[in-house]
Amino acid sequence: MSAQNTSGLTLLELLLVLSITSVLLLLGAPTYQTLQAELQLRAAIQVSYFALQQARSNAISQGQNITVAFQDGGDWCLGLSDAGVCQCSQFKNCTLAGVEHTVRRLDYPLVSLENLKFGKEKIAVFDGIRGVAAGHGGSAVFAAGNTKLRLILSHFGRIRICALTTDRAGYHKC
Amino acid sequence: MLTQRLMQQGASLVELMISMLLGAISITALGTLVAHGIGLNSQLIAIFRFDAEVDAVMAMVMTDLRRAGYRQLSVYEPNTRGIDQGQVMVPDITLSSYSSELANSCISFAYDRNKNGRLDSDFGNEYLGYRLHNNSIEIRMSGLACSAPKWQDITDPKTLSIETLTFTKQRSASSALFSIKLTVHLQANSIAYPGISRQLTRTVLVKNHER
Repeated sequence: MSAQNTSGLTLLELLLVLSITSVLLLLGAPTYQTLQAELQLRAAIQVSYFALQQARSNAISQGQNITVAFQDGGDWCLGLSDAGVCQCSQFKNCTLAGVEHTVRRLDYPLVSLENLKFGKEKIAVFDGIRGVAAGHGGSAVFAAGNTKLRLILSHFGRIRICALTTDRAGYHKC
Repeated sequence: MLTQRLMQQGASLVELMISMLLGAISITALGTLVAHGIGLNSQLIAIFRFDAEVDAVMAMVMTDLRRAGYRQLSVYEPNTRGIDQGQVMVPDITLSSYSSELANSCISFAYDRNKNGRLDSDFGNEYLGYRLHNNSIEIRMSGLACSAPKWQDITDPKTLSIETLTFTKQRSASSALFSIKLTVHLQANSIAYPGISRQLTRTVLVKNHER
């Protein structure tokens, strides 16, 4: 009885516990990474959605054309401008009333922007009369891992988000 | 002997398992909290999207209605561009509805958007309107009648369901002209969270008076 009380953990038992813990962590790590990527994807597309809504609201309230400039590739970004076409990759180049309005990959490193369909100039313009984007409708795909979400702007200024292949990340299939 | 006993003392496997169980419970509790936070965040974002969409569409309708009847007049060449002075500043706002939809849920009007002194009916049609159809707000295309199909929806049916959209027109006399007030009543429900809905009633004074 006394021997039982004084016996401690053997090295073998400790190694066993550590190896089980490691296996569990290794199994959980990819899931965590996927979750993190999906959260970043949702954040990136939602922030972009609200940026477009802001452009639309600003166009109506200020009565002037608001341009949304996109840039795809490794250093993707989008920016809002009340002074025509701008370069969102440049610091303080896309501004509304002097205040910079951009969404950049820097804040969402696991997310990529692809299939940009906003014409040659890669811009969307909300007109200052009705807040519509006549002639500037288009779409862009935000991707992280296997999840791809599409941001769609109609010619009438309606902004939608949908999932590319199947219902994902809280969005319906396109 | 005492020294030997102390060195032998340590956590038993059972004690270790208990501590691991307690740790697992703590991690699960923390995980649940994080998951709850993510869920709450999603819900808030859905509500913000819903609000943003309702506000944007209402702002679009109201600013458009305010301009009803506007026509640009050139003081230099009043008779050379087909301007009918007799029809200048006539809002001509008509209320009706699409087949089985609510009464007065369709409004049609016109204004000279491109300021060329005419109401264009070809490219960039200036005969405009909004209506309720299939729980969406639709925008008039190519000057189509309220009873015609193929208007374009401007609200996302997967984000919000428009339950009510009605227009009320008030005409009040001021000398030989009538000023027009338009009231828009809108009720929308969130699709993702059916318990969330918004009701808006806005009134706008049309800048152009009727004769």
